[in-house]
Parts: sequence; structure tokens; C-alpha cells
Amino acid sequence: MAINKTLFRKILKPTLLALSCAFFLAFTHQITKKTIESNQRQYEERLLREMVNGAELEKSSSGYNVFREGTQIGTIEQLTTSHGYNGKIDLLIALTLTSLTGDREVISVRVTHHEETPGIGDKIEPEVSNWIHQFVGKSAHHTNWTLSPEGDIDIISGATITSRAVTNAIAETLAE
Amino acid sequence: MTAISLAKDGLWKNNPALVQLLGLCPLLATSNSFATSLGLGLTTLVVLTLSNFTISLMRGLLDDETRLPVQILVIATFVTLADLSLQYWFFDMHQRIGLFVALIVTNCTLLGRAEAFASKNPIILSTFDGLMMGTGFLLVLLLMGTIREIAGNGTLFANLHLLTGTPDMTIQIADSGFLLVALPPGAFLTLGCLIAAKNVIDGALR
Repeated sequence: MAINKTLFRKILKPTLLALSCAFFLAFTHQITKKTIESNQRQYEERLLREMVNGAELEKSSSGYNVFREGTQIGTIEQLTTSHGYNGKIDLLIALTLTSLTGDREVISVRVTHHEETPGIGDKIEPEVSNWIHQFVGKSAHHTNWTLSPEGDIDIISGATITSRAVTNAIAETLAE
Repeated sequence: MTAISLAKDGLWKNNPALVQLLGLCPLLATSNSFATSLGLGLTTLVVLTLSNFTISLMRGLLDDETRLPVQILVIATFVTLADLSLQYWFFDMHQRIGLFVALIVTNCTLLGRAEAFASKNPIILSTFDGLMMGTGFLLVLLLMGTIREIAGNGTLFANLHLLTGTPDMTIQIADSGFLLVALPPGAFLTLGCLIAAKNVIDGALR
């Protein structure tokens, strides 16, 4: 019985400690939750506003509708590609409305989540390089969607797979 | 065991990154720019100091059999706390280094100092040891971040404004850099050069 008692005490101590750690973290999580969520929202809103240059946004079933002075000028859609170098790449793309020729133009593109190689594949982020800005004004029919030197889309050196994944995702959305 | 010998140990003689070769995973992963190095180095420094303090505080309570899991538990708690704090105060920076903050748990420097020092020494010395080891780690990380950002990307202090909240302070040194230095192998090569340099200096001093 004596052995069992020491054993019991040895198990009890870490268990109590684990419980107090869990309570401590749950408490911290409760305190910080609101601010972190609002940080996240602010981050996303800032991104969206930047994308459409301050035009008004309204949530729609597939993303956002973009209005300027009361008339709809375009939409923002979410897309995901799994053809990147590592994991999924989530993108937001703002497009003009369908014109008579059916050719929608890109207003802007942003990467919202990716796990590409830091220092190489992360050049798809606007904070890291200007690469993503080349898609502005591109459309389904007036653009050669192959990568350079054959096509119109510049490639990130060292990150062919990443460049191709993002380019193809945008081209497919435009072709729809 | 004096404060001076502890400081010497942490910063130079027994530097966690250059001599003990501990915590290589975050060291190699985040050292490709000055800003990420600073962010992760400071987080590690804070977590290491807090975990050394706490483990030293309860060193009389711990049994031999459960000591290691308890130490990991304490470290993991502080890492989660650091992760939440980063999201609370530096959300944009967290978007950049968030992935690696969770990995501080696997940084052997923390468990190493907890086990080798904090679980056997008084609170003030242990806290100071954590501070010095953390500073040693931070300095190596910053040095590697500086070298790799300049040589790999041709810039310095890119994205640093995400941490400091000031305007963009990127310094463009060259148009581009050697891709190899920015790639993971470049991290190993840079660290190897730094260790070699330290050994040369040690040899010259002897």
C-alpha cells in the first residue's frame, strides 16, 4: 500500500499542474479572444478595402459585391489551389463585371494564406514582392496565360511551381 | 557560480546556438531575414526566461520520474501564452512567424536549460541564466538574419515595421541576391561559417 501511495502522489502532482496550466491558458484565451478576433477582422477588411481601392463592399453568396457610387462594378471571389509547392494557397480575386464580350478583367489579386517556402515562394505576397500586381488588368481572352518567356506572365525565379499554381488558379476563374 | 560566469557562458563560451548546437530547427527556419529573426529571437528569450524562473520555483516539488513531462508542460504553456500575446499585440508579425512560434516548444535550448540548470539552481540565478542563454540565441539569430537577408535578398530590415509599428524601413542594398543563401541549405552553410569563425577567434585568444 505504501508504494501505491507514493505512486498516487507522483501521478497527482503533474495532473494538478496540467490542470492549472490548462485553466491559466483558457483564462488567457478568454481575455485575448475578442481583440485577436477583431485584429483578424481588421486585417481582412484592410485587405479587401485595399483590393478595390476603397469602393463599398457587400457580402454575397460567393464572396463580395463591389459598388462604386451605388452601381456594382465588380465582385470579389475566394479561390483555393492545391497545386502549390506545399499545402493549399488561398487567394482573393477582385474582377470587373461581365462585359459584352464576356471578358472579365482582374482588378486585383491577394494571397490570404499559403505555406510556400519562406524567402522563395512567398514572393506571391504583395508585402514581399510586386509579382502579384502583374495580374491587374489581365483578362481571359486578351492575355496569353502561359508563363514567360512564351506567355505574358512573369515567373518567380526558383518558384516555378508556385507561380504556375497561382497563375492557373486565376486563369481558371477568369475562364468560368 | 557567479552572474559574470553565467553571462559569459550564455553569450559566448557555451552559446546555445554556436556551441551547444541546440534549437537548430527554429534557428535555421526563421533566420532568412532580420525582422523574423528579431521576432522569434525575442519570443524565445521571453519564453526561456519565464520557463527557467517557473521551473526553478518548483524544483523542490518535482519527482525524478515526472520531471521531464512537467518541464515540457511548463514550456508549452509559456509558448502558447507567447503565441496568444503576439496575436494580441503584433497580429501582422504573427502572420509571418506564427508557424515557428509553436515550434519554440521543440527548441531543445529550453528543455536543456530547464533540466541542466533551472531544476538544480536558485530562482534568481536560473532566471538570469535563461536571460543570458536567450540573449546568446537572439544575437546569433540576428547575425544570421542579417547575413542571410543581405546576401540572399539584397535587402535589410524588410518587414521590420510590422514589429516596431513605424514606417517601412527597408534598406535596398542590391537588386537581388544569391538564392542559395535564402534557401534552407544556406542556413546550414551560414551557421557552419559562424561556428568556424567562433572557433578561429577562440583559438587566437588561447
